[in-house]
Amino acid sequence: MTEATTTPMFAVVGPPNYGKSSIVATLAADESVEISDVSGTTVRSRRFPMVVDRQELYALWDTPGFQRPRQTLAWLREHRGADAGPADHPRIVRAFVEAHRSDERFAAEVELLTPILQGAGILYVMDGSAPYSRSYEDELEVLRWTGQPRIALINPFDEAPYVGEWEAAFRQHFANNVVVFNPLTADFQRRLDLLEAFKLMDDAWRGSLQRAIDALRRDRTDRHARSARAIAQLVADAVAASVQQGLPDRGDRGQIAGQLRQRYEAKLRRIEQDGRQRVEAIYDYRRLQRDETELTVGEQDLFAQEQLRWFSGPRWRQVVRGATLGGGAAMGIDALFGGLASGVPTLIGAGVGGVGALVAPLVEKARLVQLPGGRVLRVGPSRNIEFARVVLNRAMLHRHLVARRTHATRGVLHVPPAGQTTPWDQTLDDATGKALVRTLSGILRDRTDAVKALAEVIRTCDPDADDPGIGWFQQTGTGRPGN
Amino acid sequence: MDATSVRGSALADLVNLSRQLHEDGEAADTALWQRDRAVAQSLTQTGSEADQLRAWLHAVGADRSAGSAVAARVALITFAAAVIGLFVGASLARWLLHYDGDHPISVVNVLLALVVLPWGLVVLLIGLALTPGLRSLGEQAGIDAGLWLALALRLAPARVREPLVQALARSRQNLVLFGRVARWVVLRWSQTFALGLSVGVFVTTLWLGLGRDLAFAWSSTLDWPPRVIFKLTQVVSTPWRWVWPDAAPTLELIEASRYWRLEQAQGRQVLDPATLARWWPFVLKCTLVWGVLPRAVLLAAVHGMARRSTARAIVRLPGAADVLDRLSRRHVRLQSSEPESARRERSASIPGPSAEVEGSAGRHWAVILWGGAPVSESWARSQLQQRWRSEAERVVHAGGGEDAPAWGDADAAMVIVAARAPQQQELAEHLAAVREALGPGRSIELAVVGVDAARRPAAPRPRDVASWRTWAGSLGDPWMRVVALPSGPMEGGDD
Repeated sequence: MTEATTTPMFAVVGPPNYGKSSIVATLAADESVEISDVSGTTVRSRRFPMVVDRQELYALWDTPGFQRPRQTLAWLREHRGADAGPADHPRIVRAFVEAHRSDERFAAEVELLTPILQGAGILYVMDGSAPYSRSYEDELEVLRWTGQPRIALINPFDEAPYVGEWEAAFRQHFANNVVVFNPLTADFQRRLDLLEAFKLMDDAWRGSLQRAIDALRRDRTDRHARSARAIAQLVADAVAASVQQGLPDRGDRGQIAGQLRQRYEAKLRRIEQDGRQRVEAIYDYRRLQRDETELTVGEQDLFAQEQLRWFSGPRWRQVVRGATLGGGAAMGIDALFGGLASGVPTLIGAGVGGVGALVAPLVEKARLVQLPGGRVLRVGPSRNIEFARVVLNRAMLHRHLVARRTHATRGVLHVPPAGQTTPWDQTLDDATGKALVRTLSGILRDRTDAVKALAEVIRTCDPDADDPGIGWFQQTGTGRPGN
Repeated sequence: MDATSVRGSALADLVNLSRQLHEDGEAADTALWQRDRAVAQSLTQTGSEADQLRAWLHAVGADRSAGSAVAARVALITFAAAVIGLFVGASLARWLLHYDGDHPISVVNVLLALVVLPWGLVVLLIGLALTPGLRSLGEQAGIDAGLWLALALRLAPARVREPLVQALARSRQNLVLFGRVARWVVLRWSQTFALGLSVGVFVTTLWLGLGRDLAFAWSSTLDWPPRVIFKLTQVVSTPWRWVWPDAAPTLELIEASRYWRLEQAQGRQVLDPATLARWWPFVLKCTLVWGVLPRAVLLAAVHGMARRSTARAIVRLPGAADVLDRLSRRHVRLQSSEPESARRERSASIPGPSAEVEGSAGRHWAVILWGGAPVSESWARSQLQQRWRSEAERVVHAGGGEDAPAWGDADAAMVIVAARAPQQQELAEHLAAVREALGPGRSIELAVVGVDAARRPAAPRPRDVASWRTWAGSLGDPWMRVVALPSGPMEGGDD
């Protein structure tokens, strides 16, 4: 008899290289799961518990594929005995596992059957691109002998012309517990739908699975809120970035300005990189490689004009302001001590900018700062709302791609360059657009509540970052969207 | 632990929190969740967000040295401001209330210095705070948050200044938040000094009146009727006149205490000291009601604003919202805590036999349809004919429970598998059996065939062929090759 368990467990089983690990990776949001086109990648069963504050609500088992299903079934039949009936089958399977626990030839079968004998339900994975064949029936028979509830998952892969064939075949073995599930494209709701299907396997598991579904739903909303905060902080940090360099009495100011711009861009990229990693970590990606055009302000005028063309509509022309917003000195922490070395307050030269939205550089031109003992040339912080919006839209696009991606997807995340997708803020209605402008202006003015306000705008305007139904992410050019 | 029971300096907690959040920025997300969920179990979720953050800070055992040092210095400066204010106030009162018996104390001077002037400064301060234009003017003159922060950092002990600067430099928001708190702290120092001064004046006035005979009079070049002065004093004494009517000068007192220096010098005016002394209660009440009390109220207001600014800064520090999130939200984890097991090392895929294979054309071929390969025997024979211009000696089915086939005279084998057939050990064992039957040097072709939607044989996907090559390479048979079917006639080599 298999052991009874009140905490649902599910063993993902099937032939090798049919996507079992991909399904586990997607359901467990675990990028550490080894996935490969090479058969036999998984050699040991691995447990993936779903835990909410140390309370386990269910667990998945990734198992190696069957390697000797015919021989296994032959052994079971051979040891069945003349008087044994279906009720004895689980006992005979257990005897098989005990007899072959040290037998390397049946290591895969022992690994995949052990969690089932501990009470795990069976998730049998089949490749929808492979035609039905009786050769799979040996595995199905072995699994049927365990007596555990089971559900069939048909993994459609790319083109899957045999999904219907498998659905019909599986109904004989799994009743109506047949689900088509693509681990590479399944969105969050689809994953929840699969857990809903698991509830049908055993009544004793319904409560725990329902709690798990509710917790996952709340957690998903929380992660979107957290990523909204991370993006708002990224925008604030990018806007506030500044670099400065001492200006000798004799020297090429143009050359120094060029060096400053490079340092400034490098700083912006670091800030953006940190922000990307924070967002990715929120969605449980820690090794994601991404391909994204770098944020640059090198070609200031060109960049400004191109960005304005993308973003500008009648509404934005009304609200775009000049570069300088508000008063106050912008003092970097490094300037504070230098400036007060002799107790003389730092004097800040008048900022240049604000001549007009269409020609204003995204960043104020470098400002000359008079300090005791010398002058410095400083670039940043930005006072241009267009820059803030560029950073914001890039971050929103990245978040959308990350949230939609499944953990079974491997390879580089391609973030399309600006111009190939509709910027996020262009999809907002007028009222929300104005609210966005107000919060961005607040960030430019160092309002300390502006970051929270921006996070709230993002959260309320894009509450379900991974919903494919949200239309703002529209590909407008010829580039491919992210994986 | 109740979040509202946290005591101690909020300013110290603000400093320590910024450092702790800076350290947390380097920590792994999972570790933070585990730590903070454990803290959340021990905290009572009451109190404001600032209270929760302070309680969290104490619960995680954050390093408190920096905050304590800063708070200690702030407290020391506050104490010094009060003491200095007391001293200055006492000195001022002694100077203004100096009476040597020759000339009475001018009530006008005393009230101007101890009441009108301080009140003027209070009104100016409130005006600067409430008028946006004036406030902006102040900022543009350089009196901005950054300046206050720099001043405050100067006061931090050297050993904590560097880590504090690093924590603050993490985000411009930190600078702005701390700068605004620093501004209120500095303002609180100034009001503490001012209150100390007012108290010094009051206490000295009280002491001098109790211990010495004071005589007050008033004089002016202007022709002010006593009735006008009386009305002014009535207005000034309004707050206490209904409780202490004796502490308000009467019209007679005002008339009797007008003082002409020339007349007195000429002996033509004699002032009654006992009458002149009756001004003292009024003067004393003025220093209390118009000196001490407003400053106390202002200090209380500034103190409240400083606390509010500190609490706001605590909540708005970058990273604070994430802490609150972790305290209030349940942590959901799906990933395995077990490491991925080591992968089996694979040989490189083999494009073709690595060892010399005897010529395959014209050989006696056995064709094996493995595991229900979706091809017919006739198709298999035709493929062999196209490929090697050979007839199949025999076509057998395997992988479906059949016994091991008899080979007869076959000296080469083509094992046809479906492209998406599982790559299992049973097939590997069967291939090993085929090798044993054929012997070394004889060709085994593992033929991979795809299937179209109509279940007809079709060219397999290149990645399926590559997968089969990798798998076959692991078998270590140097005379085995993987080919794709259907294919054309072979002229040598692999397709």
